[in-house]
Amino acid sequence: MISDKLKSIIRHEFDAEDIELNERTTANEVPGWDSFSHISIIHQVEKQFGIRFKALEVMGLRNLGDLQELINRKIG
Amino acid sequence: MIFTSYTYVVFLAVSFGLYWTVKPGWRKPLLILASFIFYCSWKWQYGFLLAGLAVFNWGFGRWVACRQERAHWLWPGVIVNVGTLVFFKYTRFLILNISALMLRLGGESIQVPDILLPLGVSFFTFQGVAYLVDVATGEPPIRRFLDFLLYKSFWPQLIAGPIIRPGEIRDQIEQKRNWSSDNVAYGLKRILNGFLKKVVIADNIAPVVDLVFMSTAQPGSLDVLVGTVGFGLQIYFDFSAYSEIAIGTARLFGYVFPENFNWPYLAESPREFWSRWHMTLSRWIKDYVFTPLAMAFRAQRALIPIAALFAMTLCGLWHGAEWTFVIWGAWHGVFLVLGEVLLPRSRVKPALSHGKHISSFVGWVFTMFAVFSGWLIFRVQSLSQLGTFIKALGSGSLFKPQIVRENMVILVLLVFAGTALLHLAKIANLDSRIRLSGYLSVIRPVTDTFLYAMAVSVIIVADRGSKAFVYFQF
Repeated sequence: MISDKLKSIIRHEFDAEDIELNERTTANEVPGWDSFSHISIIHQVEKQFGIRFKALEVMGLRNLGDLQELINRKIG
Repeated sequence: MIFTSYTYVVFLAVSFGLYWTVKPGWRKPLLILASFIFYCSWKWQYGFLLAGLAVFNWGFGRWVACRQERAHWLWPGVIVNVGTLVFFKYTRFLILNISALMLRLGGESIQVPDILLPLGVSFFTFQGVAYLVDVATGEPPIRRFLDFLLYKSFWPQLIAGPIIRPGEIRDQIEQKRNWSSDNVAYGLKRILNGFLKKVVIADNIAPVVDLVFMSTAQPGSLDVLVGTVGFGLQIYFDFSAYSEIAIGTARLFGYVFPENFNWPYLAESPREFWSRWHMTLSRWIKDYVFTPLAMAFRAQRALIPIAALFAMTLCGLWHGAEWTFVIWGAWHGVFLVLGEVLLPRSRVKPALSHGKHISSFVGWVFTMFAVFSGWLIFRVQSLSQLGTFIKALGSGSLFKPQIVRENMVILVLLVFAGTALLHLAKIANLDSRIRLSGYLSVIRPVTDTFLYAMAVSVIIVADRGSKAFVYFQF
């Protein structure tokens, strides 16, 4: 389940409130989600959740579900 | 053996026939044997390099997967793969440049070793890095050595990609491939398209491009334009042809490879271009170079463009051990960053936005300028030739060539127009308006028709040495 906070970060990055986001969503499916915005989102997630990722953790993310799981592990 | 040769056609036919005839348990060993025959037909000694790297990457991947903190143990594996590439591809370049520097500083030159570059080393070392990093970041390793050896050596992707990640192929390799006549029809069609693109289109533009870039004569502006645009078309048809043949060949044996080209000359930004051109390489650069570097800079947003510039410069260097390739990569890095700053990010899927907004058109012009001027840098033989050609752009008539012949200009214009038509058909999605069924469904009714018509036109127009009319002698 993707948290509202994470969805809000992503929707704010693309200035689009209507993007459909779920566990299986990948970057390719979101218009404009490229490598630059990816880093921006990761940084915003770190700031807003108060966590820190390692580069290899980010490189292992395949979809939004992976990102949410990683956030949950960092918080919990 | 090269893809577009009679030898390859015979090799493929025999491999295909044997593969679907032998017992299923023999299929993978057969493909591996065929792959090594394919690779060793060039220089058999380098088969040991391929086999050695396969053993190393398989073993190291399995070892890393057993570790608690997989990522900690990753680096030796990456260093072995990258080190192999650096040794074979860049030793000479490094020593040449160090030697030149030492001579300038009053020292002595260093003898440059003669190291033969193993075919495909740029690709299978990058594939090795991708495999190890993916395993270190959670991807299950390929457990059986035979399966891994097939993943590593399978000939359609061995020499020039696509660079396949383990998650894309593991299930296919581990599960039995079943006969599918749809796969065979699809594969044959992709191979046919590849042959036409390479043998007819790319190989007929090549002499024009070679004439411009290898001539000792001073080019005029039209020659530079024809050579540059011609090369942009040649490399697109040549490389996308290779990918088509690779993908089609794999499909004959039941394997689905990722695509490598997605109409790159439709791109409306440099960022989009790199999501459409040599997609598996740009994915590799993005995931394994840009992302870790940008992560290090993420708190200082202004530094992230440096990560992009570095990643693209490395991409350029990967293409060849010459300063022109380094500059080409950096050129793309600069335009990638400029594009991020100057061009609006598309809020709809790029394919839908084409032609609908003036900003799309401006973005497309910006991108094509970046890409085609980049091709000039990519193709020149040296930095001094680059300087000569840039100066030549301002000299001579745009209507009278000084090196190429006028029918060569016509040929390049023809291919340019044909390529534009192909791309317009893609934008208008014309193929979806005609439904074909059965085996014919592998055909794209409009774009394939345009492609075949273009191939026929090229055959007619290509310079084969004009012959006088027979009756002139009477």
